[in-house]
Amino acid sequence: MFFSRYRNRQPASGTKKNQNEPIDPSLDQLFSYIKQEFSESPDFVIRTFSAGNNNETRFGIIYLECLVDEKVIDEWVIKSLTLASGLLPKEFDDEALSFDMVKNRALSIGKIAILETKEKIIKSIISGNAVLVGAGWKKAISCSTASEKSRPISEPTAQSVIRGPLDSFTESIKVNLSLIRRRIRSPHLKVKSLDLGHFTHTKIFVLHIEGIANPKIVKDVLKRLKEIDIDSVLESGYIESFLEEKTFTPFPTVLTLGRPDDICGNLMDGRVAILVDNTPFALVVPSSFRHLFMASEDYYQRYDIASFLRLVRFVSFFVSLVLPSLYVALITHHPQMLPTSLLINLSAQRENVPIPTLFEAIIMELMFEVIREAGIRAPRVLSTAITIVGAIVLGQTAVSAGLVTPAMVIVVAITGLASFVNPSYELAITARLIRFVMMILAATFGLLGITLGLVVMISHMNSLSSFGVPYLEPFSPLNLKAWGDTFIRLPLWMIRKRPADLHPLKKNMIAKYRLRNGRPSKEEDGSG
Amino acid sequence: MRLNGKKLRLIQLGIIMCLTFPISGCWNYFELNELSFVTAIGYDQGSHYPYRLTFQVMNPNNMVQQPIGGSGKGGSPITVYTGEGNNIIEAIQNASNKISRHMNFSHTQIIVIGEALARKGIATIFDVKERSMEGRINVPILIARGTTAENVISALTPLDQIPAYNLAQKVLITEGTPSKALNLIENDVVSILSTPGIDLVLSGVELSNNGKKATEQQSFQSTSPPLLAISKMGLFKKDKLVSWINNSAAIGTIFLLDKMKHGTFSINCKNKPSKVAIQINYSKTKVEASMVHGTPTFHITVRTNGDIKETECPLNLEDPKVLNMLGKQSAKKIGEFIQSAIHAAKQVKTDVFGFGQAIHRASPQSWNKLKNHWDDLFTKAKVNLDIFVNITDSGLRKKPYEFK
Repeated sequence: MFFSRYRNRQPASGTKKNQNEPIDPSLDQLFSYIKQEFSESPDFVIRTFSAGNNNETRFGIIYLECLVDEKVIDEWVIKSLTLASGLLPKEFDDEALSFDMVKNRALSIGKIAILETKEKIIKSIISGNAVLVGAGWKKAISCSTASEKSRPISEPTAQSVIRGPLDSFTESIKVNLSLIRRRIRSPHLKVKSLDLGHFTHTKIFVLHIEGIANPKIVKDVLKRLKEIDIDSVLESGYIESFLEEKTFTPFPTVLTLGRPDDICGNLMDGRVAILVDNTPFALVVPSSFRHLFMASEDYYQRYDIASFLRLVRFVSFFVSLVLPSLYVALITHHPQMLPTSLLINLSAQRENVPIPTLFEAIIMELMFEVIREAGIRAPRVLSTAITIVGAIVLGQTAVSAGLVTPAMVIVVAITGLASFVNPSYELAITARLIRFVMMILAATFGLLGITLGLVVMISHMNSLSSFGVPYLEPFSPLNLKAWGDTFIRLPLWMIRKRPADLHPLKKNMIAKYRLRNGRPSKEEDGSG
Repeated sequence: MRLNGKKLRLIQLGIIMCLTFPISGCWNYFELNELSFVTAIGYDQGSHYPYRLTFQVMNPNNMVQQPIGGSGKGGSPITVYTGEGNNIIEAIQNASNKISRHMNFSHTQIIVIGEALARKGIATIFDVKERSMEGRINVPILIARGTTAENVISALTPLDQIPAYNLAQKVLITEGTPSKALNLIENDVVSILSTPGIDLVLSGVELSNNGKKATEQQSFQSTSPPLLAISKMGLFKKDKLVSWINNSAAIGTIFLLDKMKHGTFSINCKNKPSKVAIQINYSKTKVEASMVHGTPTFHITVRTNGDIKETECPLNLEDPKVLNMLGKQSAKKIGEFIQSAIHAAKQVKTDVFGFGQAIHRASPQSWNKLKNHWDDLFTKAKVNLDIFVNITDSGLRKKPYEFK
């Protein structure tokens, strides 16, 4: 049991000591115990009533007002119980037999569960269920009455597309699962449920597709999730760090996605998705470096523009990584490498600027980060004001005051824009962090420093892996077949195979196609 | 402290990274506003010292359209500094006394050598450039004809704000379409000076003042400002300038050096005084050397394609026979150019065409025998010409205008 370590550390915890205690047959005893557990919270409700032929059998319904849909309780539990019990045979009044009667014939609610311990009653109440107890029962019935109050499904804010579905995950895990189930209508979509967090009891679903995903990876994911011993899980980020194989790296090895179609595509590739309740983002493992450059839209658009956009993304990543440092290196160490006319222009700009180029670059980059962060954190009403202040102060005034060169503003702006190109926000963060190191290296060693930085960066990336998949996967180890879906995206019938590094059970995603008269046509034997 | 593999590797990596400190040879942090970029260098004879160097340094502030708030003074786009010394490096250092910034030679566009110094010898001035890490060896070199390099370097130019850039472009343009100059870069010059069997020929630059001062910006307010023009070619014997050649000798030299690109010449049509202008669009020259009875003999093959650019006489240009006839006349003309070039070179006994090298390539043994008195032998050299000109095109029009 993964609670054991926790219990040993904190034996005094109130909710844990009665874990296996059976339910008291006496209702009053049970009520007082539960009341004590909830310390008489204002939203805690115990509704007692009598039913049966002679109105002699006592029942109690216990629930938390704020979590349940009271209409459901009124309509489908209390009403049906009181009405139906009158029509039931005499045995109903017998305490020993009444439990089965109620369960089988009187309750008209869909999902129920039988609870046998007090601990489970408490847990069920917290989950938003109403627990039905009867005098003399040794079991309790948990009725699924939780109210599904969730935000409506809206357009994705973090990963928007032009062509493609416009729904995105919400905070409700059930809605999120339904969005995936609606896309993969197959019983092979397997969902394993977990509970994480000693206090939050956050629901976690681990999804994979049986027959495609490698069972070793699924097993590994489940094992690592079960090993997590944590008090609270408020967002998927809490468990993300437990799924990484190396923590001290700026590169994300777990992919975070907010779009159900993205998740489905990854599931179909043979990856494992992890949904966390109250999180509109799902995690996907294993994830490699090239994976961060792929958007679901790549597969919806035609292959030519998709390939072009992939290239743009790779170039932009490189630009957002090294452009400021290249500028610093060329200006301060290698002016001989600039064309003379450009040099004249740049040196005229630098003529009256009092700040050294390196600090100019760092200050401007930091200012850009500040504006970016302010734009996110500030109340929505103020965001226009921030944009105006940022644009005017940085773009215009700093230049006209002679504090920074216009070229530097251009460099920072291009860098900023380039970092927004990637579909993965995490990758932009990576580039943002490494950029500063690169700038310092460039100012100390020039181009040699940038080369050194890149060498160290790539060798570090080479040491990373995610659930056994090397991070630089199609480049190192070299797998030329996967290059058709890396820098470019070939037409789907040319890719055909799932990423080999995931070791999927079903290797082909498209049966064999052959170009006949310029059109792909299916061969007779082409399956699997 | 015990070191396990990982720690050891980290320390090793640290040491390797520290080793990069000394190997970074170009560790040279300078802000752009701490550098002064030398765009042209002029070499002259000094008044008290053997060398007088002139540096054209750009003032970027006065060159670019000013960024908002910048303080444009509207001054001259360049400043000229001079320094004298017993050797080049001393002259550079004497000049840098006068500049507030570190001189950077990596953007030098052109090198000009004054005629007086060129006549005295130029071999010594390239050593320092070849040794220094900064600076390039692909800088074109010109001789200031009839003036000092300082005057040329100090002159402002219209169109281009940096006169050095202007001059470098002029050499390129002149070498291209009119093919009246040679664009020899420093590397070529050094290699010619150090190779036996070939002598140097460099293009000249002239200052035509138009009666105005070329160093003042006011002169450039008018439509006919003072100009720098590429003109004539200087023949060198060893490293000393000996004479200037022009026109047909210059064109012949360019043919012999196989540098002809798009030169233009005119031929008489039939026996009338009116002319036909031919522009070359392709030309290939081959020089084959042999020793005939102790006389060096050179067989020169020229294959040229030309277009008719202008005609004053009524020729039927649709007739291939007429074109053939024009081709033969052109070949004769090119032969005249080549003969006059060889004549000019023989007069000063300088083998700028590399005939000696051709003999060296053809028969190294005989070259070894005659290399010591090659100067005299060169004047006796015989030349056989085999020139063929193919007239390919007469432009958009076939028949010329027929005037009443």
